Amino acid sequence: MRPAAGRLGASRGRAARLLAAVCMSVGVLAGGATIGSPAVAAPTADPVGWGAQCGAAALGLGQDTVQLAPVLASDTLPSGGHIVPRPLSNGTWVPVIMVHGWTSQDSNNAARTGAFSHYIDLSDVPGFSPDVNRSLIGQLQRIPGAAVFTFDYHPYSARWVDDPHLGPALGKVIDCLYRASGQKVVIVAHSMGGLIARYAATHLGASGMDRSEEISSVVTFGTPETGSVAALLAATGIDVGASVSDELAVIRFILAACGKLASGDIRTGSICDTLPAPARAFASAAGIALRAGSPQLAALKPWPSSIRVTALAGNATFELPDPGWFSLPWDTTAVDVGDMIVTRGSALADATTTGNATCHYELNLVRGATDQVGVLLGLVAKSQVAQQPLGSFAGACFHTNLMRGIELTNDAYAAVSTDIASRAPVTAQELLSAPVPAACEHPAGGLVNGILPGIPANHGEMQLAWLNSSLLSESAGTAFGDLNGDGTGDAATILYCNAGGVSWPDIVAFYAQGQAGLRLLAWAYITNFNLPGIQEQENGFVRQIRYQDGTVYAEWSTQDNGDAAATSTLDYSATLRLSGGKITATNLVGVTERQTVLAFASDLRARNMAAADSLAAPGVGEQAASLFRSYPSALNAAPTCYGLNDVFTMPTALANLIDQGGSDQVNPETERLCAFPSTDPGADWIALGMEHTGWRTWRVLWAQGA
Amino acid sequence: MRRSRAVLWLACAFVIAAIAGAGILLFTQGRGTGGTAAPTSAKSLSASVAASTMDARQVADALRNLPDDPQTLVASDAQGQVAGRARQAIPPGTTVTPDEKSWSPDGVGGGTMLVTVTVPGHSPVTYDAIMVSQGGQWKVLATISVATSPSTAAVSPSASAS
Repeated sequence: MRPAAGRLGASRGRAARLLAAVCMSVGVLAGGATIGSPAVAAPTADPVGWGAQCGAAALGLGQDTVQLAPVLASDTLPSGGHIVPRPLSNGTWVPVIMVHGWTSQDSNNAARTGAFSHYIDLSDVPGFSPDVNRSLIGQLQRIPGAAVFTFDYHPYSARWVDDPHLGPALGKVIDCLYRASGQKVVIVAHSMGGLIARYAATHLGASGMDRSEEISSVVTFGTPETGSVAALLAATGIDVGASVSDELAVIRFILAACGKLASGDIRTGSICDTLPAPARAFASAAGIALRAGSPQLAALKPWPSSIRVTALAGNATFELPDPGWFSLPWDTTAVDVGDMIVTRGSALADATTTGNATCHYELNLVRGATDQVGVLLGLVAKSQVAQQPLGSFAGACFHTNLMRGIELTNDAYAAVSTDIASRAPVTAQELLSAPVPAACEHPAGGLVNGILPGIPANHGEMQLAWLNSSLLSESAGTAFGDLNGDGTGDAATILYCNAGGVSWPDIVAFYAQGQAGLRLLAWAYITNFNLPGIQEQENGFVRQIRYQDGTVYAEWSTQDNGDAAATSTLDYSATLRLSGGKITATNLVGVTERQTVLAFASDLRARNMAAADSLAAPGVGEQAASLFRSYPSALNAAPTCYGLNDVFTMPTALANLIDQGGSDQVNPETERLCAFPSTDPGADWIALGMEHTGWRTWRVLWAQGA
Repeated sequence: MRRSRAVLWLACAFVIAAIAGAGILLFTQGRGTGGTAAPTSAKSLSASVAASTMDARQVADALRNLPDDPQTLVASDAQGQVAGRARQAIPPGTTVTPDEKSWSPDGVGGGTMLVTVTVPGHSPVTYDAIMVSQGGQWKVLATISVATSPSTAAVSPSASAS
């Protein structure tokens, strides 16, 4: 988070954002034309500029293509209106990179042939036809802050992920978009695209480390993390073992059955559309590497733990009529083939969260009396409604269709929107429902309208310190900016609490956006921070906090040693920062009466009465000057200062001067006493009574010999 | 009659090969948007048809040999499930009748063929045998039972999806 720009800068920012939104909407008018030329290298604050800056030509990616996905006119909102991408409330755009799968491609245009461009029109619920007038890309373009890019490597897609045009190329795109946006990127990938993303994530990025600092989350559709079972089909020389033999048998059976159908019977949405004719493709470098258990797969490093991986899988189960080896039956008649290309286990391996589209089918093999080519494939949904027309149900679980299914695309939308929403700056409104720590003898909980509910009457309270307070305003009690270094807007605020008696020290709490509401980054009683020799006190009242370049500048008052309860004579300021999950203080400066006393004595020594008078109550300057003239040794001595609670330990002659209600008490407004020792006859001390007149301001209230 | 059936078979085989070829093209071209595959020539289609016919004959021959030594026809991936009981499935005296015309290649080194198995003392049972080629030999990976009924009972994907 940068410091707030001036009015002109803010205005320019708004104009630039508006321009970006307009440009992204141009696709609506252009029917999906490509935005931006690929040769511009100047840094820009908006996605349109990133598209040029991070295009294939600029990055030297050959025939790869990187585009800011245009908004398609035919992708519409539920209301029927056009989709208009917009940034987060603070102007932030987050790059979302779509990475297609093996043998697919990734354009987003009116033809809707891109891997993520087909309408969302399938469901794993039999009989339900989603009514969504947009694609997954369109869906993601609705998310505030999402700048959706497509990465297309299809001219090289038969190659393995370590080819310069695949994983390394995506890595360059990630580096570029990360640098251009200042935001960690989000990746949405299908099939082998997920492995390309894993390659990029685990190899050196712009920082010289892996790209875990450049990628926040990844959503995968049917990515063969541990390989593709279907790729094993071509591995006829390999004994794949019994673990996948059932799946392979079913896939082979369906491949053969589809091959028997006349071309007129093969229609979009039928199971046959979802199957590859893989002999040739599976023999490619990528196909061989995709085989479950391949050394190429084994060489891929696991996802960095800091990257949140949402893995989505198709899970089709086929109920077969008496499968086996002639009269020897299999253990089961139901075979889970995943999405036909990737098993569920492979697609969901090592994910942070997972989602499934689950479909159950019955395969009925009937040999017709007049059937000349053998068995026809009867495929029906296994549901309460037998023989239900397949319609949209056909294929929601199959590999090439996963991004058309309403269930999985909803999961993807949720994952991406949650990630991006976490980049939105924390607001004061959100602090009203912030989580609070266990403190002041109250359990941890969540504020409701700024107050922790559930505390019995007379047992105290926990609330935002600036709520309905005349002592601390909302602006003084909140500070907004990036506190944890992730580039997003966090917040610091002050919590007030007590346990039914006097106030406990104010609490300073740091918050960031979390997966579900605000997340408490760290907290501390303000009295945790003290200069050496100052004990931690009972009270501490924050005067103000403000954001300052990744830190929080804070001012507060607390007791000094010897002070009575609730007397605040020590005024602190410090720079608070998040460090190692804790709040630490630097530049800690404490101001007490002592600085004023020393200045006052210095003025007297310099015979600067005007200056001395400015630090004292009327007439007290001259009074003190007279005393020090009588006892000159005192003026050159170092003073000792006491609080009102020191009356039992300080010299009696001095204690009498401040003893509350005592006959020798000089002035009940006295808060501190500083005494200069005298070696001159007639007085052992020259005492100055001190009054705290404001934040870091004191005056000499009286002067007296003792 | 025999001549007309042969013509029909040849036509069917050509259709199968054409579909397989088109499928490969479709897949490797990324649904018509690029890729590295060259168009399939008429010459290669003819070769495919010939290869398929040869495969069908070899598969049928292999299945006919089942009663002699069924264990030799167990595919490697089925060994675990068969567990040495192949002879139990195909006891001596079993009659095996493959339907050569039903051969359907899967495009990845295998295919399916209908086969009717009559174990002595039992009624004939028709299976769709899923075959794979291993080490130059055709093996049975699995079978699925096939019910025989009038053609009107058959359900095709297109009918299901309508």
